[in-house]
Amino acid sequence: MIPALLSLVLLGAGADPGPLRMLGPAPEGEVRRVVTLTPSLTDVVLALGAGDRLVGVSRFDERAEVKQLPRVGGFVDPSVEAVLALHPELVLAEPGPGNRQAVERMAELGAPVLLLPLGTVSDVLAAERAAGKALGRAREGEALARELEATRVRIRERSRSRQPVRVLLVYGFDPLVVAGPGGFADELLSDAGALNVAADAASPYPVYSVERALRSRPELILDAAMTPGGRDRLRELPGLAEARWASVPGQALLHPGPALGRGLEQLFALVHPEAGR
Amino acid sequence: MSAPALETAALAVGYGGRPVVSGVSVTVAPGTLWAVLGPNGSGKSTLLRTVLGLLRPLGGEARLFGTSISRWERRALACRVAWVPQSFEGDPGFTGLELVLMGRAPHQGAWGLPGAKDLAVARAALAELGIGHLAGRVVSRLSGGERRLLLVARALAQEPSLLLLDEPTAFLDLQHQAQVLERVRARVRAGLAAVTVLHDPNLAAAFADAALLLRDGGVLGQGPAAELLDAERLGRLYGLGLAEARTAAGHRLFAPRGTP
Amino acid sequence: MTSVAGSLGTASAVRFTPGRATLVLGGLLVLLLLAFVASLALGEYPVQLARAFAEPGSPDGRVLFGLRIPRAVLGALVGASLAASGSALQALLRNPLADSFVLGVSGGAALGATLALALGLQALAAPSVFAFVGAVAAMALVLAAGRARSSPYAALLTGVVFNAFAAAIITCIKTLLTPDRLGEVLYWLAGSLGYERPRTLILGGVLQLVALGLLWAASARLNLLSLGDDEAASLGVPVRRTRAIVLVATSLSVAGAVALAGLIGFVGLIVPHLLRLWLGPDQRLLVPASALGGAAFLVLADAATRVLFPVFHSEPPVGVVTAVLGGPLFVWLLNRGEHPA
Repeated sequence: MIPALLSLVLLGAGADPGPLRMLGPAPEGEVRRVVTLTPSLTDVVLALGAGDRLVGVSRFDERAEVKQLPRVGGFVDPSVEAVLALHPELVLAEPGPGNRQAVERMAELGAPVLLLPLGTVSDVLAAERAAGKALGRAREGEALARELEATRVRIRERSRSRQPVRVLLVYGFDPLVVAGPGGFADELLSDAGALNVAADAASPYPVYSVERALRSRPELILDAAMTPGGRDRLRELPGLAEARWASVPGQALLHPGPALGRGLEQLFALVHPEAGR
Repeated sequence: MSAPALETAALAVGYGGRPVVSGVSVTVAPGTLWAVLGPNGSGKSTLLRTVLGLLRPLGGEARLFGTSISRWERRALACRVAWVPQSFEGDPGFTGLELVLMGRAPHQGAWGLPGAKDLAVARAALAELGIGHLAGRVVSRLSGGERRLLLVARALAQEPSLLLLDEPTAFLDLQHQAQVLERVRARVRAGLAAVTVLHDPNLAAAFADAALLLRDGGVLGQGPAAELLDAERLGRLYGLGLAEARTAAGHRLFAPRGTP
Repeated sequence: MTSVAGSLGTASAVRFTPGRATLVLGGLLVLLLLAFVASLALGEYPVQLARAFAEPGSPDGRVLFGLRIPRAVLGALVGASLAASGSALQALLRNPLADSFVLGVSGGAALGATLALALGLQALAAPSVFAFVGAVAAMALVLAAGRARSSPYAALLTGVVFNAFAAAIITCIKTLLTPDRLGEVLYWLAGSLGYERPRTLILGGVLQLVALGLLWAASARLNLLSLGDDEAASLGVPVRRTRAIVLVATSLSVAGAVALAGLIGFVGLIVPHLLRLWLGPDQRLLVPASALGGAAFLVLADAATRVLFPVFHSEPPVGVVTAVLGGPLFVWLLNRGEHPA
């Protein structure tokens, strides 16, 4: 029974969170009060130059521009009441199974909600354009998207002539969580001329087998872990000890948003340090 | 005369298909008190449980008031037959009176709200055994002897026609041993049929009308207590030498002969 | 308990009388209503109750009727179910440690919902539907295993083993999930009261009323069963049938509660024990009193999660609040030198 069960889980693990869409009433006129439910979408609003319209953010938001704003909960546990209490004219949310009920409820009770999936690069592009349009900043949204597209084209061009590098992008060491296939990180790795050795994994953020990581003999290990716990132990293992280790600066590769372009450039520099600037 | 309270024919009893004692054929008439004697493990309690319908008979037959035990409905049976178990399993925080009132359960509605009669019967049963003071006490904090007395009171409150007692005198002091059996005797004089497992042959000799002796998976003897109980037969029953004496009033007493 | 019984004199020798039951249950009902009103007044959104009732269509009214009342009703239903089932199971299994989840229902529900979340089946039906299916399946399994032996311990042991088995499978599934899904499963397992639709609430309410009705109807027989199977039988109780009724009623009730709110611990343990110290062990009083007391307890605990929002910038799962309140309270009760039996 268990093998059958596991294969079912593996099939389902990459399920689609649903398309970009609007819930609840349509925003009227110019939107002045905006609440975001995830830091990536806060980044989008700030990049659109609409930071002064933010009235509430998630409890995971850390940027200085929004430090003083009220918190409305997290990605899986937004508080419907806290959001409504801010009388938002637009709520920007990343759809997920955990917040579906809460998001639907706030829409029913009168808050316009724009659901913006952020799983892939094209999701991010669409989100930037849609958020721009909703905030009356369509031009800025279009510019953000174009900029990222242009960066991708440029980096792809530069990496085309180079030997692909076998890369393992690590989000956490204990347990080993890596960038798998099907997410924006995998796409950016490929843009930067890297071969994601964890492309055989089941989901974008799989808990990966350490032995499999050893066997795949990565040439470069990109360390995007927030805590160093377990790193040293892994670093001594054959197959990983020989690899080049580099840490990914900042959070550019953790948050799908306007920073992805910068993240991609950093990624390229890490994968091909010989290329120079 | 109506059917006997209890009638067994070649009854075999035991657990898990394995007989502990077989070939039991007794007839317990209303107004008689039977004592069941035998060494540990001779099947005395098993016999009572089988008669109550808690265990399936392994052979033979048992009838209560003329009807085979398998045909009795639980509640109807509980209105006629009461049981004083050997041990007290639960540790619930009921009071003495609450516990005794449970003896009224088969006579009440499904929800067991006690009426005035139920309360009167329960209090009378407590008074009958001289334990009225236990009414408001919590059972889980009473001594083993006090709990036995409450279980006897509960069985009396059940107003049965047949009373089955499994070592009712265990844990009791001498005064209470005599008191319990005297009370049961008094009810028997009024028409109750009773079967009691006893460990002390002296109590059997003093209170029982008839006795059933169980040993080695069978019946060693049965009949009127006055004729059946003597030192020789009881010695064989328990497997040790017994001396017999008579009091001035004519009561028989048995004691191990011991080694001088 | 003796001190309570003793201080009231001989009148307390029988603690279940219609008069006392009315008084106690009436008092608990008032407590529940107070908890309900308190819960309606507490939250992040500044609701003016007067305006909300005057204008149900106003923002205040919509928050009150659309969010707080459904959530308080859900809390009351789940609390009533867990506490009353806990009380009945403690009597039936003659085990003071038995709680509402002891029969494998929790493991089954958690497994059902985790599988649904893992497989992305939310599109077909809410996770609670899968949780209910899992709980009922687990219950059937445990009851079937328990039938083989007539002792109540068979069901108890099978339930404990099944819960451990389910926990292992869930751990296994968790390692395969993406962080966002994992987060949801963990949050669900911790037990929280969300926002259910009125139709779901009515369905859950009917289920709980039927289950509680069955338990209350069986409560006199439960008293006798708490003495032991043989004693109960000798007092006229159809033991097997009564046990089956109580097991099925508690399992359905808890399955419904877990489906609606995840695993909320301690309510099934702490509420019946507290009430038993106060009221004595009579299930005819304890079952309904636990239902009302459990409802009030959970409604208040849920209101507490909303009061805590400004502290954590998140509402902690209500299961965390009940555990944090319940754990120390339980230890304190046990150490007062009194047996909670």
